[in-house]
Amino acid sequence: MQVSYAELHCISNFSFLRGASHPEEMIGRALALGYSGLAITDDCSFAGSARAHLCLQETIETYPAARAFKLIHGTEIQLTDGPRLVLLVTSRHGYGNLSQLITLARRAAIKGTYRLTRGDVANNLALLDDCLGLLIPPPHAPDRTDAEHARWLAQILPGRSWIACELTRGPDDAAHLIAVQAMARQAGLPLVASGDVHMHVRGRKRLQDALTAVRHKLPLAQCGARLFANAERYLRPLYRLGRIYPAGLLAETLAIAERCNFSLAELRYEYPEEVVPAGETPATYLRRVTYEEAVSRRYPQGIPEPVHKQIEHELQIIADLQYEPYFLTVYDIVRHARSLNILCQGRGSAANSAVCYCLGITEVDPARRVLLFERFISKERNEPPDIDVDFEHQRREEVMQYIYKKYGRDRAALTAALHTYRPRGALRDIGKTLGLSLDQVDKLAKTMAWWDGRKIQRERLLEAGFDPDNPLIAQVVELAQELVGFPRHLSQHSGGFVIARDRLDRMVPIENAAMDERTVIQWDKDDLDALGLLKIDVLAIGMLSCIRRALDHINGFYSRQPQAAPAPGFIHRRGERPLELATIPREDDRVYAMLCNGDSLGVFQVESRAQMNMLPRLRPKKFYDLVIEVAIVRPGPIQGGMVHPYLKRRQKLEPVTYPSPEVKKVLERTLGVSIFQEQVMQLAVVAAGFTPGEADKLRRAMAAWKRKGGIGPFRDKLINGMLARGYTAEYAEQIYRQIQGFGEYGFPESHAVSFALLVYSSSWLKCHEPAAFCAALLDSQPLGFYAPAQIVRDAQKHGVEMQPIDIAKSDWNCALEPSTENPGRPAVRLGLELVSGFNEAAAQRIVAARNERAFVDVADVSRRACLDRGEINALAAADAFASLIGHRRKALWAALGLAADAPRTASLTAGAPIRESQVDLLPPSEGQNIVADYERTSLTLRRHPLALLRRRFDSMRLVPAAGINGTRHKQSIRTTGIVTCRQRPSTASGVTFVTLEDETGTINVVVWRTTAEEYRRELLGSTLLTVYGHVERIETESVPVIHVIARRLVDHSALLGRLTVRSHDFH
Amino acid sequence: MALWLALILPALPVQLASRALEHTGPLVVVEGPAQRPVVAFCNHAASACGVAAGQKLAAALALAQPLVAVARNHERENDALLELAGWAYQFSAHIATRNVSTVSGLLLETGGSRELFGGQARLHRRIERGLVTLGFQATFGYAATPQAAWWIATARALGIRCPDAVEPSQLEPALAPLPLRLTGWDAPALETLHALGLATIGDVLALPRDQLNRRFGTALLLDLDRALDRLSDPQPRFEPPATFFARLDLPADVSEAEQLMFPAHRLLRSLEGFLRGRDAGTTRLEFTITHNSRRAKPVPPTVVTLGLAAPERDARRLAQLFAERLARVTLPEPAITLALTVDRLQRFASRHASLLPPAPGASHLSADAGWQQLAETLHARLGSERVFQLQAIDDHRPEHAYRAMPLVAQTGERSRSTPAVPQRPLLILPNPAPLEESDEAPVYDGALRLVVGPERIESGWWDLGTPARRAVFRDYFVARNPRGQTLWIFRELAAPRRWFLHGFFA
Repeated sequence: MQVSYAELHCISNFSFLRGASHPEEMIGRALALGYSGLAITDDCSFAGSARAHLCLQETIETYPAARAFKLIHGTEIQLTDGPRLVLLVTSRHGYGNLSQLITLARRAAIKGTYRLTRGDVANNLALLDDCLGLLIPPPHAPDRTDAEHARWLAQILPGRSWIACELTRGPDDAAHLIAVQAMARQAGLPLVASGDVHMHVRGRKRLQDALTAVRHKLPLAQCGARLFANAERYLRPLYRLGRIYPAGLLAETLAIAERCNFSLAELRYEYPEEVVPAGETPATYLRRVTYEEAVSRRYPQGIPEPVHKQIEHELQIIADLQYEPYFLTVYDIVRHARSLNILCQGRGSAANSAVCYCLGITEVDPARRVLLFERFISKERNEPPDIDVDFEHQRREEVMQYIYKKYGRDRAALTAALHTYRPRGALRDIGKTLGLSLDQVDKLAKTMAWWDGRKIQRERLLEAGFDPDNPLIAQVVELAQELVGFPRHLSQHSGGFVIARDRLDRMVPIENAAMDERTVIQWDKDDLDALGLLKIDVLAIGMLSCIRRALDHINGFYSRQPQAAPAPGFIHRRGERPLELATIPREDDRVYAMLCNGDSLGVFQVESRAQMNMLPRLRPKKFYDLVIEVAIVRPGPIQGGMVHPYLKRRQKLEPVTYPSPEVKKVLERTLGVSIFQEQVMQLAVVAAGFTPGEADKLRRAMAAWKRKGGIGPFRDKLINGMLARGYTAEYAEQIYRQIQGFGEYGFPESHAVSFALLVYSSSWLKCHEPAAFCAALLDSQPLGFYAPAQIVRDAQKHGVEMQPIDIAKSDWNCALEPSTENPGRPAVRLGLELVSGFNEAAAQRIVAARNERAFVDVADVSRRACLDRGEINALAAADAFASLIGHRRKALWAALGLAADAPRTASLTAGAPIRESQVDLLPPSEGQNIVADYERTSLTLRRHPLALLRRRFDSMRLVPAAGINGTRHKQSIRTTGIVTCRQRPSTASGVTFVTLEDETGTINVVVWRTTAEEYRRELLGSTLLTVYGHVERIETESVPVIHVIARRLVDHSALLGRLTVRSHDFH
Repeated sequence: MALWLALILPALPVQLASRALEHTGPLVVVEGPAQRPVVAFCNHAASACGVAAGQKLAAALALAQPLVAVARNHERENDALLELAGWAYQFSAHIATRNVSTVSGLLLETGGSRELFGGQARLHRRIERGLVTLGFQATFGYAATPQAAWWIATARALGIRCPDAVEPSQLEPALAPLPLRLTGWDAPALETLHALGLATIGDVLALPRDQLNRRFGTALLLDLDRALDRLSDPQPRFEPPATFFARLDLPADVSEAEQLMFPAHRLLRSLEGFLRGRDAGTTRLEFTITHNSRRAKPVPPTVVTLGLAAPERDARRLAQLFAERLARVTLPEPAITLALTVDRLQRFASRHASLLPPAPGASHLSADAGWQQLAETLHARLGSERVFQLQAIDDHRPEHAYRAMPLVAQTGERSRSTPAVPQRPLLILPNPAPLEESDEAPVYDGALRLVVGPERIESGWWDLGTPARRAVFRDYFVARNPRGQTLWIFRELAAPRRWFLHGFFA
């Protein structure tokens, strides 16, 4: 007999640490078994529903028969004081209701849990409209309470409730069936079959057991009855179900499925309405503000014709897709930020448009740059526009609060960030449940440095001393492998906002985040993307803070200094408009010359050592070169092997060729090498015959690399398509490899353009206003790759005069003051922010007291600025009293001598200074001062510590950094320096890059794997590292790129004594 | 005249670990939260690999392989100091223990007792040799004040040369050049003194007292005054306990019983010193071996008792006796600690007649004697291997759902939640018996009729290695045979799908 069945009770791995299969696996398996439908009923959650929906949609495209399959949305909820229920939705209305009910339950409990009582349900009966209910009886024989629960359910969901009969080969299924039949009869409810499904195949039982153990934080051996006794909670074949359940119970599942008619495709994003003033349509309003802002902000002399045409063209596309409210929403946020003087910058597919330029969403000027709007937004691709807006790091919170305030918390929320298991975490959790000791688990997890990718490698296990064939280890690895990619928990995304027209919780459930007063929806940005819903990313960039501070420093200094002579090329004059991001002079040759020399410390995005080495080879001459620079030194292009071909072509060592005119059109701007994500997609279209929709799927597959395991399914289509269009197999393979390499690291051009603008702006500041740039960088710490000591030394190298921290002159932040040598130029006065253990409020009190009258001694400072002992000691140790009473030891002795309660009871002790005999403390030596400077302010304006050791180094024949510039290629060398950075990039197999610093500059050291292993201890443990090796020198048109290849490493840290310098270590 | 001897035990936690086992490889003692342990001490082998205090354990593991990591246990350190004090009581009646942050040791007043041992030099040699047999390493400092002796011994522990200061006039010259860090003053004060450029005790002594007092409080000056004999410094007196107890944590799992002889020697040496100090011996020693419970369920400790006909204290002879007993002991699981308890001290001279403890008489089974007493008696007669109680275990596998526990060993490790077990037969066979089959149907005294089932049990896949505890994949049935017996049987899910008998219902 043919059995038909729809599974109505199935939890996926989005019921965290319970379900043992992905929603996609559930759908796939149910289809393969010939189920008529499947309900995804995760634990008080819709988190997995988008994935299931998307999977079914994709399946339908290749397998249209799947259209008949019914995906049902629902949830399993354990009532606090009642039964376990499965609730299923029958319509959009029911979906909204249940979403609200889930929200209610989730918001009533702390993150990751929920709470719903029968009373809550009774008080919100309307939320059960268009919902069906299944009561899940407990596994034991039903008792009076269960019978009472059934009657209660029958009462609140009359005609829409069932009792689920779940036969999973328990102790006595026959008796259980009889008991639930009796219970159903008594309550007057029909009975329906369901399977309490936790996994798609029974083979997942071991993983399911392990998840249970992780959930209970117990080793498996102690889990006992917390585990399921058998593996029956899987999607069972129909013939088996036919043997287990009476036919009527199976037929009832179809009757229920029949009533459930809701698809997530019905969710349509409804934009907020208040961004459009009354009496206007979104289209008329967008057109009006675009032109108004264009004239007032961008083109006071009139809009150039090409720009005008471009605006019209874009407005047309926007109108066709009805995206006006989206642009207006972003515009509103950006405009508000600007009114608060918060610097911001948009990026993303839709951001780099003439419309966004006019609206001030971006500073990328369409008149100067090649902009192909359609490259970023297209009609065919049914893809929502994407604008990310970066704000100043410290002030983004204000913007977020504005959004909450404007739209209300019931309409605006942050998207979720779905945390999934990575190999390390998976090994750790599985190892623990299988009884490995903490040490072993740690060791095992440590074998999985992230650069191993997502697969657990045999060799790594061997290296760590584990036997991969040991059954226990094999089991750990196998299960961990299965667990990788499983969702673990939801947390809040850093800044992805969804804003709804009406209640957001009717679109997707909202739950509490870990932070108080923060909520997060149950979908992440991939889910929103897949459902075609719009989101706005409100992100933070530290460099924007730095740029704004630099601009404030500059505008402040020149307005205070009438005779000041601003930098050449600086259009700002006293009384004119202050310098802004938008008015920074463009395409300045000196800026590019500086970058060509690799002189980019502190500059946005291109300050890493890899970037510094790339700059002299790429030799950026114009803005678009920076766009490429930003995108090329990234794992994607490096793994795809694009960097060297591009460099060769750029240096004219290799001819620029294109396999076809179509490809030329796509790749011309990057000399025939694909560097950007957009180019890859366009190639798929023009060279392999993908439709834009398919190309978009390819992009998504690239982005979802971690989840779905790559772009394998696209390989044949891509290669065959290219062969059919006359491309060589070799070229086709090459393109495929590039796409693969891009993986999740692919960088879009639309983002690179916006980043490049910040690269240029920060470079301009560094080049022309190094003092302001240095001060702003110090104020913005922590930011970027370099420590304050290196930032200061770099500024000094560029001729900036630095003034020490001084109680009589320093503010909290660094400040610009007239240089002693050239009063027209600024010098940097270090701020009290650099004093470790100090605080801003105390600094403000010092400034206020000092403005009244100058300080006379330490006690005076303490009294009038109301500083406590810790604060005054911190200042003394940082040598901030030098101008007042002499060396830091004297200051500290005086500070310690203040009565312990002096500051808070200032007036009482003020009149009775304590007379003390003079104590002779030995003044600190230069070396001691340097060490103390580093300890207390993490930098020194005295000599570099290594300058003191140079004579010794000379006798050891150690060459200083400056000496290395004069060496030949392949020359043997020994050198030493303080380790400032250790880096082991994912793209370089086993090589470690170490940056050393001495008083003359920096030394780039390359340590190959074998050397690194031999000198592991020296490599990881040294502060002062001596390197024996040889020079590798690459000549370029400007400065040569020089590396020292290490052969032997020696730890000389002991020579430094107490000096503490922290290295930036990246893995 | 008072003469104080300070014994500093550098890196005591490491000493405790290496005292318990001969281990020459890298070893660290860690402290801090279990997720992020930090190295507190390391042995020479570990520091030769670059391991240092303050490192994260993970970092240390990266430097030294294989590395033994032991968690720090302050209680054990105090126990060890008390044990040592008990031992040292034979040399001096005035002993004080000190455990200040990372420096631990003893103070012994030897001015009064040295002549009993033939002078200071001889006493010194005896103590030095004795410490070696106990497995301790110490540095020594002699001075006229306890504080000065302590500092001198501390300095030597740090590798700083420094003379003894037996005469009060030698105190200041001896102490002045010593670095401040060995004073044990709190870290902020030391940090401040360093920042002021003050490096030695002499530098501080040179400052005006009132100014120093205002800045650092009286604690520093008091310490200095006591050290220089300007202020009396009474020391608490260690009172030796009436019974002996000492325990060693074994830094690595010990699976062979004979490996326990090494730590046992240490304990017996310590006991010998303890008994000497009291002029006593004992007739009953109890060794307790606790076991690793990591892999399986907790394992009750193994207790080995030595009964002697006459009071004894000689470590070598006791070790021989213990070795004999140990030869007959098998460890159910690797050992992790070894402890020695002696509750009964006797005058060393007295003698007992019988070699065996008195046999239990009938009076022991009087009406008010509880079951516990009965159990103890049975236990004493039959040995711990033969007296059990049954305990329910939370496990789906029927043969592992119960276990036999030695009756006497009350480890407190009973499973707290008795699981809601479905109806199970009263008698479960420890080893399921294969059933005869006819046409794949099970037979037991006639054809079996399946009454209830199948109940499917698939569990235990994680139990690896031990063949006795393995995974089960079975369908269980309640079956009845023509004789009216109700049986519990199962069929293996895996081919050849054999039938087995697993139990009888009453």
